[in-house]
Amino acid sequence: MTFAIHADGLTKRYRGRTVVDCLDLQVATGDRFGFLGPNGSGKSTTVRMLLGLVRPSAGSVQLLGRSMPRHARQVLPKVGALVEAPAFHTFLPARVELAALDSAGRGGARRSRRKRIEDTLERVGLGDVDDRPIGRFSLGMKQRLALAAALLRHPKLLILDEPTNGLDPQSIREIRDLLLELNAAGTTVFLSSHLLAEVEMLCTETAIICDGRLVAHDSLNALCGPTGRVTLRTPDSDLAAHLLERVLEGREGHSLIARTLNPMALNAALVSAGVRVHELVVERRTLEDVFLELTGSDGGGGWEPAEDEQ
Amino acid sequence: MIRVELRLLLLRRRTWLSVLMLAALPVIVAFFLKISGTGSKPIGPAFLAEVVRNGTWFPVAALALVLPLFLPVAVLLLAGDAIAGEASAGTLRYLVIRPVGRGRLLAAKMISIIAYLLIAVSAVTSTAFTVGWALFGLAPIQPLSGGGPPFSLPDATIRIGLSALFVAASMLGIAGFGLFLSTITSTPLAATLGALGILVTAGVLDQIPSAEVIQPYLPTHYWMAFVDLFRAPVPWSSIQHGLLLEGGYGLATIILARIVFAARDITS
Repeated sequence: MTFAIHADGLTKRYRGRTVVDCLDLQVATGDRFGFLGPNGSGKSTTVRMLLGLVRPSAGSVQLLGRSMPRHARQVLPKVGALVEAPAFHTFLPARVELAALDSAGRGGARRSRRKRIEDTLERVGLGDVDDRPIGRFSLGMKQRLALAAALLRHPKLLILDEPTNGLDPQSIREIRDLLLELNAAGTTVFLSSHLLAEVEMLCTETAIICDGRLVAHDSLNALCGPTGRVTLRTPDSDLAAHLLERVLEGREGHSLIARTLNPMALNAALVSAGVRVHELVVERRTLEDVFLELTGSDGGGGWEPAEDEQ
Repeated sequence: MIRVELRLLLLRRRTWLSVLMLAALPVIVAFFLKISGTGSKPIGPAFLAEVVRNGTWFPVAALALVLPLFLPVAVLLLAGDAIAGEASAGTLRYLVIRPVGRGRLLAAKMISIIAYLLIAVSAVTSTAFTVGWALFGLAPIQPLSGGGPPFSLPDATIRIGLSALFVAASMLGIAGFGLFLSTITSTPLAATLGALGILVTAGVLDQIPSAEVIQPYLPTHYWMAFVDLFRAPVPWSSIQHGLLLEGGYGLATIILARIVFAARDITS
């Protein structure tokens, strides 16, 4: 397997304080990877180390198979990134700013520049933007423009820090669709965020960082596994409650919650006893449950006594 | 990057505003000289008194007017802003991951400062030349010392042009300090004021007799040496020393800036 991002023992200390602690990160080529963590957990420092803005105190980073920051000149032209808030020369119009940024470094062919700028602006929904200076853009427009800047050279890897910050729901959806489309075309997407929903809806792989340490690194499916409970809806709830008496955890009208590690066997038993099963849902941990448990943000209670879902 | 940086310099409104202000100072001074004369008290360098008799001196006087403070402040605003300004605007991180090499970025900034200097001295000199011509008329000028025949107008013009170039080169030292300070802070104003501090200190030390030993190494020491261009024959020694000193400071500070900037974490 080839990795778009491979960090090994990545560590950053500032004056004796360890901000990122021995982080191992593997993002496979073609992944949609969510990098989650509470505010101040070391996400941004990690992203900056990946991009060579901040030098690691220890450990190493490889982007697209080459070590950083040594090969930044070769690697970074193939990487598009959004690092925290968008930032521009605000006295320039959008097209001039994109052209300036594109011609500032390698990998932006002059001949295709104008067309790439128009195509990219179109892609992020700024196709009809006028010549007003960027300083007069709304936050949402700036966010889109920053994304356009990241996409300008058709990167193989996108590293995005909170890309939907300041966007309305409609725009968030457009950006998500755009990222899915780019990913389908082969772009690896690394999304750093504290917004669980954003990661849940876009990513297949995820890592969770807390206090500078990695506390989870797995596929979303594996992290959000079954809780060992099922929710059952049946008009024959009395009969079902009687049958499931020993594993029953709760009942509300025709809706029952039972503990089982084998939903199929449970269903078969109910049906053979004549219970008409209207609905049987395996309860899964939500990303929120997992996140709060791992990052201890709920005071260490964990997800286990999860509230019943209505 | 260099071309981009120059383009940004020219697109920025504050570039032209500061050039306009620099060029306006001699115009205002000329206006007052015209209506009231220099008076009985000698003001500034000796040749300022000559201005009212011969407008050809006026570009020289104008350069001497903007040299001690106005031009350094304008240049240091630019130099202090060079890296710290990008850092505080957040654009520095996007430039570095673009990627623009840090050395290349510094070089582009220095070149853009030099371009600004050339624009500024050209604007001051040509404005002063025009104003001097209009208000006081042009005539061949008498050498400041050494006697000999007056410098013809074309000859004087060449000497004025060289003076402007020397004044621009005189700023390299402090511009370098400003650029260096700009790499170690994210506050443009701090870098500008820090370099201004160096400028003021150098100016004070240059006046104290007991600091004589270090005076030849002060970045401001040879600033007025361009006046030597109007002597016959020209004593080149101060001019050469000045150019060498400014070039040395410029080079040393940019190398230092390069070393510091390369090792710096970009957390802005």
